[in-house]
Amino acid sequence: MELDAKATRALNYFIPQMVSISKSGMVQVGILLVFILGGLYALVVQIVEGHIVTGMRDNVVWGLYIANFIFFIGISYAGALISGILHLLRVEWRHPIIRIAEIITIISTIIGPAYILLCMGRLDRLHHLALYGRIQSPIIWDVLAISTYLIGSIIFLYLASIRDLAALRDYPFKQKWRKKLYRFLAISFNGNAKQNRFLERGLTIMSAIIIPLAVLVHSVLAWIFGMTLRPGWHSTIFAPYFVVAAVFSGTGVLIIALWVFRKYYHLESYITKIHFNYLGIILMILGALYGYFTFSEYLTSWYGSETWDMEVLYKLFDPHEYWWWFFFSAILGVALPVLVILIPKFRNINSITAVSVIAVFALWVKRYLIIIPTLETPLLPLQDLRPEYIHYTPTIIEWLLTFAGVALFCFLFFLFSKFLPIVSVVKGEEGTNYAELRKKVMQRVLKRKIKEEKRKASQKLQHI
Amino acid sequence: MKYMLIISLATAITAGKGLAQKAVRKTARVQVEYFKGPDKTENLVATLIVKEKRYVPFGEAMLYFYCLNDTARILLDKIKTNDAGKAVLTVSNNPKITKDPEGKITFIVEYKGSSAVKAAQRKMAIRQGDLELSFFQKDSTKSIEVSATETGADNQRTPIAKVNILFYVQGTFSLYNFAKEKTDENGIVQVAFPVDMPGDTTGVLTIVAKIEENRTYGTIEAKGEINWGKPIQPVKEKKRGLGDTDAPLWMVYTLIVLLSAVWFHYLYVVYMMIKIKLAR
Repeated sequence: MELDAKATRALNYFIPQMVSISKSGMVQVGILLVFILGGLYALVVQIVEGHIVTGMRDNVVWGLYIANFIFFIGISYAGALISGILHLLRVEWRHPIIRIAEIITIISTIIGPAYILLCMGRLDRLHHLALYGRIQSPIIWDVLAISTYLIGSIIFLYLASIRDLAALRDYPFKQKWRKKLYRFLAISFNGNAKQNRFLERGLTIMSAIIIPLAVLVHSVLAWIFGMTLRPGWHSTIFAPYFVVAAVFSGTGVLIIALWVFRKYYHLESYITKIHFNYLGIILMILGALYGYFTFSEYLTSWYGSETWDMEVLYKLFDPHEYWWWFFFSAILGVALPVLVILIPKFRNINSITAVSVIAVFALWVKRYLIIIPTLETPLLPLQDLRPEYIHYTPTIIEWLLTFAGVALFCFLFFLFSKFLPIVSVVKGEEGTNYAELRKKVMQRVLKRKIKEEKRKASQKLQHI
Repeated sequence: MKYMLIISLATAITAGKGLAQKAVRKTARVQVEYFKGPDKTENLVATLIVKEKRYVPFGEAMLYFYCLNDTARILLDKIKTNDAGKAVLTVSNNPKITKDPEGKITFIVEYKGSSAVKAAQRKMAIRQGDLELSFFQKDSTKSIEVSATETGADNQRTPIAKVNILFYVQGTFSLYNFAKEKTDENGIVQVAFPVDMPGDTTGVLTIVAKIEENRTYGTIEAKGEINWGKPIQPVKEKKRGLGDTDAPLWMVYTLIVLLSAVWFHYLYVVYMMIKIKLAR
């Protein structure tokens, strides 16, 4: 495939980074592997000893694992939505960020559901889900939605990477496996007009279908809670609330990932301040929207004053229980990103990344607060029970598996960056086409204006 | 000498303790109730309770049921109590039961005790009464009449005067009291029928009349059914299908349409990939 000078330069910049690893990189990968091994150890302990090694009991049956599940599915959502929308709108500045966003989607859609498996007591009965699953159950909807979403995201990422894969196929790599792999994946793409047309059609379809699919996936996840008659869950706004929270946290993770790769691979010329500014503004708008949903949700519950709802709210507002976490997740974690990005003086790459970190942590805490206080407030009064049956405390096993999930997320990201440039190298032709289109539109507008002015002038002359 | 004294003292204390333990036997109580049901079956229900922190039912204990006549007490039966501490003796048609000249039957229920529980007994004298329930309608007035009688020593029936009769309607889970009246000199009482009461689909109501926990007659019950209530059609439950084996059809169709739409596009994109490969 023929490459222009810019693409060749970019390819030559990325390939050495793909085939080698620095000493500091090896240390970082080593640290990630230590966390992953810690998680594997915790997994073995949990399988051998059973769920008694977790903090989950008869009463609080969901804990850290489900919070992690919602968190990862949430961040997966932003990747799909941002890359889908930006592609559909042919936004010029999307190229450096679109692949990172898609990778976030795929990796987090793989890791998130793994936490469901960790939460299940009888994994040997997993196949019963397929054999005896009931369509009425939101859990089945979730399984269907997430698996369909994952497949869609993989297809989308693959389509968006075909041009780069073709470029890599033609690069003289020393490793044979790379040559074979890229040749297989590039499906004989050479960039001719026909192939470009088919590829663009596929990409447009996938970017259009991935957006409603992503909305549906997170809505289904929200319905698992919303359709359960429990305080703090049974809410009609839970689906849009989850969707907004998901894009909010996902955008935060995308900003963090951009910052990390910008530093790690020195991509200052590819990922510029403008990307951070635009994503920061998206984060700010989503933060405001999320804040509005949060306020609406808690105000409605508080004003209704239903006894059971109030029990949960009192726990959230009690400084001895969850107040500080609530303050961080619902107030500080929302207000700080909005204010810092809103004021131009504070808006720079590092500050946007810093508030993104805060937003992501806040949203993780929020997921924890959705699950635990509600489960600690059963409808029937609990009597003569041990404290751990009433109050949930995550154990070291759960924390190890949580950190392992985060480490695996980073590790898979690292592996992917060794397989494909983290930023799109070869651009499609739609950029030029759109520039031409804009030019044509402007010419038409100008012609119409001139015609109009001429008509007015001739009318004036006739009048005189 | 010193050791002898210590040993004697220890023995005395131990013996004392043993005596004390032997002396602590739980107090028992026997409670006796007499029931005559709507099917005219008469039962004597004895309950044995034992004092722990409070009185609790005592199961697996043998109770002896006697009938007292002029000369002696005749053993009617011996029955073990169940987990609720109850033992039931069927009184109807028992040839061993005799009445005194006043028409009273005197029962004695005895628990003979054990090493841990003290003996207890309860005596109860009852007269055999009966209730007859009938329904009357005069013009638009509907009423219930109950006739209360007792059977004397010579098996002659005489009216029971000035006794409280309670009237109930049978609900799904319990009885609802709607009147309480005393019988007249002829042992008869009449109350207005509760015409606004909801019945079943045909308006049938079950009316229960009772003499309740009376010292002389125990508990006597009579029951009758009549279709004077308001017919109520059963509430039709709207089928949602969420708890059924089969899912609601709209849900199945929605799922099929959504998944088909998405997968059709996926397949189309795969077709595009094939076209890319072929267009090299």
